[in-house]
Amino acid sequence: MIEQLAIVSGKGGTGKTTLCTALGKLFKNTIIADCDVDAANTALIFKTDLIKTYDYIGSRKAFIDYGKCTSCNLCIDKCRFGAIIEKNRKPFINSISCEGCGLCASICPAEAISFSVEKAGEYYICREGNITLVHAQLYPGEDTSGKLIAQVRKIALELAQSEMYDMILIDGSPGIGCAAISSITAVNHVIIVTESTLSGLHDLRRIVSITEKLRRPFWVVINKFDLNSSITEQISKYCESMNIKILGCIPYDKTVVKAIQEENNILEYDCPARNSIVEIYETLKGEIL
Amino acid sequence: MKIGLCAKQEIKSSQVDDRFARAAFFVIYDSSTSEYIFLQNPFDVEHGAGPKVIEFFAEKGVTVLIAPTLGPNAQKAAQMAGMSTYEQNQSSVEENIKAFLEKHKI
Repeated sequence: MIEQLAIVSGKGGTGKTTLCTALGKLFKNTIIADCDVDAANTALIFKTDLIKTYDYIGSRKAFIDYGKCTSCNLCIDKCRFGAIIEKNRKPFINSISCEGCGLCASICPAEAISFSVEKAGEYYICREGNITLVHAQLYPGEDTSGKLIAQVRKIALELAQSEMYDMILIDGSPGIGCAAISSITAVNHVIIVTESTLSGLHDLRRIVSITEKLRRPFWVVINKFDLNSSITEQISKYCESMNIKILGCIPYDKTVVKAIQEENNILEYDCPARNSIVEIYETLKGEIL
Repeated sequence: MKIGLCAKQEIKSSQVDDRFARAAFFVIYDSSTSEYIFLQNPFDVEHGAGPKVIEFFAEKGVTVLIAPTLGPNAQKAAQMAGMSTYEQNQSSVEENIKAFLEKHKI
């Protein structure tokens, strides 16, 4: 069976990608699926060769047939997203604001509005040595979605099955919305990365409740645990009261910043953060293998 | 009674799909006629697929759902539609239905 392990966090910037890229190198025979598509950055850490590109077709957008439009401008009035503006006394659709809801088409007296889909980005399969990466890039103004994440995960799973990979590491979307849920759903295990800040603790509670609703087994990693010992203690107490296992703690380490700036894997530096991540890897191996 | 399921392929021996709203196919099994209907997932939406799929099943008269774990919005929608939901086993569509019918002595 292929192990699907998602690394998520309620709060962004807690260290998901740093942990994920390191684990990707430590676990052999792994595919990394970068599902944080709003800020896809996993690929920056690897020196990959592009293997294959796919088109991502986004949501539908409104189009006006000016041959039929009578310029009554009712659509401008009714659009809830302010996506239709007046230009030269005619309605004009700002496709960045259009949510594709269909209201304008259904109220247009001249039936001049229709919908079509457009390419909203691309997703890729890349390789560095024996590490395979699936990641996506959206065009400006497009936002990430459960749909795109589902497609990235689908490609990763098909590759894993056809090329006999043991594991898919999902670098998840932060937050608790559609994108985070699409990163977690149907995985075998989840690692929730938090940090010792108030927002880290607050958002940890929120992502825990979502992960529990989806009934996925999970652990917590506390990053930058030595930033604020009283909050780290609160996180530990919270985890204890909820019966959540803490896989490990990573200290605040400036080498991580250096590694990111130099676009390198943290494993390439001999530093405290690296050592903690290797310990987490050892613990994790015991849990899932 | 109509039972809704998610499938990877269009056959009753197909594995159930482990994604709910983004499953490849939906299945509606009618226990009074023992008939299966397979439908390609019509929802190619970016957000909010879960509740749409619940609505889709409800409109087709489905009252029982055997599915992967539902997200929070799909759970709420299923409750509002008065649908009973059961967690699927990692087996085929056919086996899931059989297990459900035996368990509930239908």
